[in-house]
Amino acid sequence: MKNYVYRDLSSKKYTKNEFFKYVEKKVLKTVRNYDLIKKNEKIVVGLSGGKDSAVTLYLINKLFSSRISDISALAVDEGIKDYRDKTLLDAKKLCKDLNIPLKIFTYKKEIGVKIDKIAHLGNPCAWCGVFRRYLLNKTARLIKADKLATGHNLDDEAQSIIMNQFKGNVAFSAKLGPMTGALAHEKFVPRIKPLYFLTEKEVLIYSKLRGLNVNYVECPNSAGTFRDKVCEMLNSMENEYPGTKQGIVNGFLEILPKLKEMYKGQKIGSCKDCGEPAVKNKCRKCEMVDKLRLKKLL
Amino acid sequence: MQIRVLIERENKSKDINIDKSVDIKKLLESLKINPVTVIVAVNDEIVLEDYRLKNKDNVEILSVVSGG
Repeated sequence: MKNYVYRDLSSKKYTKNEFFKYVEKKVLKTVRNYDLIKKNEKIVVGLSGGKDSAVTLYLINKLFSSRISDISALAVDEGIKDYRDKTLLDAKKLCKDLNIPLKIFTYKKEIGVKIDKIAHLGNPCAWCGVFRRYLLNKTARLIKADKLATGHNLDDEAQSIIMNQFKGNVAFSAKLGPMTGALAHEKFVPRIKPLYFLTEKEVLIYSKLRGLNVNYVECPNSAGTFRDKVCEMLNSMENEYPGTKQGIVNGFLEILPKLKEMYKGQKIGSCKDCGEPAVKNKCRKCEMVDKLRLKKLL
Repeated sequence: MQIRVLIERENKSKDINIDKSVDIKKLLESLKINPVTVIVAVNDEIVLEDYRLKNKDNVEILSVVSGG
């Protein structure tokens, strides 16, 4: 009797090898249809040591190493005790196994503070997200990467679309999609999401079956956040109405070109403090740094 | 029949007595776990919801949601 490991939305069952082909075909199709990786490009992967970014690194290396000129990994240590220190061990091991160079940057050194020290201010994910995007973009640019690949999957994207919709942040949604960014700027490294059409469950199964030695724990700061609530709601809907997340993302992709067009005219300049891209005269990272200075946390 | 269940998210394992005809779908229902949020391995092999549990099966319920 065959051992099946996955059943898709049409109830088709997959054995382990069939599932590998299914996942890899989906990633190849995403990269090809959205032109995410061009020939001879230098790709850097934002690696946390969790399953999503580990699978991204593994698959780019497996499927595109003959097409690209170089692959490396960047990791950010936010300073979250008993979480990031553990996942970074896995990140180091994975890079060693795949023979891919890894650079690690810390909030402590680059921003001046660990997330653990400011978590009491509330909504640590907001601080963390802004600092991470700043640091990944800056470091990817410094190593002259053409693209920064992240481990965002279908679940992440469906959550972001719904979160922006609930909060009325249409402009934020214009930055979503398999290749991010509504606005072009010489200091922006385009971010790509090769796992865009894979559900989080598919990514987990793939990482387990490939034996990727990664940490499967959740960030201790994510419980009870707005994203966490939307995630729960979507999982409940998905259980009752299979295909909900796929429907949200497919519907969104139909209107995304219009959204990008709408926000194309917005001017983007440079932050007067750090020189990084900014819509206002200061970037969000520097605004947050100012707040931390006022609170004497920096 | 008795099986051992490890729920990864709660980091605890327990022995459960079940009827002969129980499959993974029914087990998750009885534990009030949404099947969308987990994958299930029995004796170290990933299985589907229609897998019928056997005596002394070692079941791991692994959480899909994690930082990545």
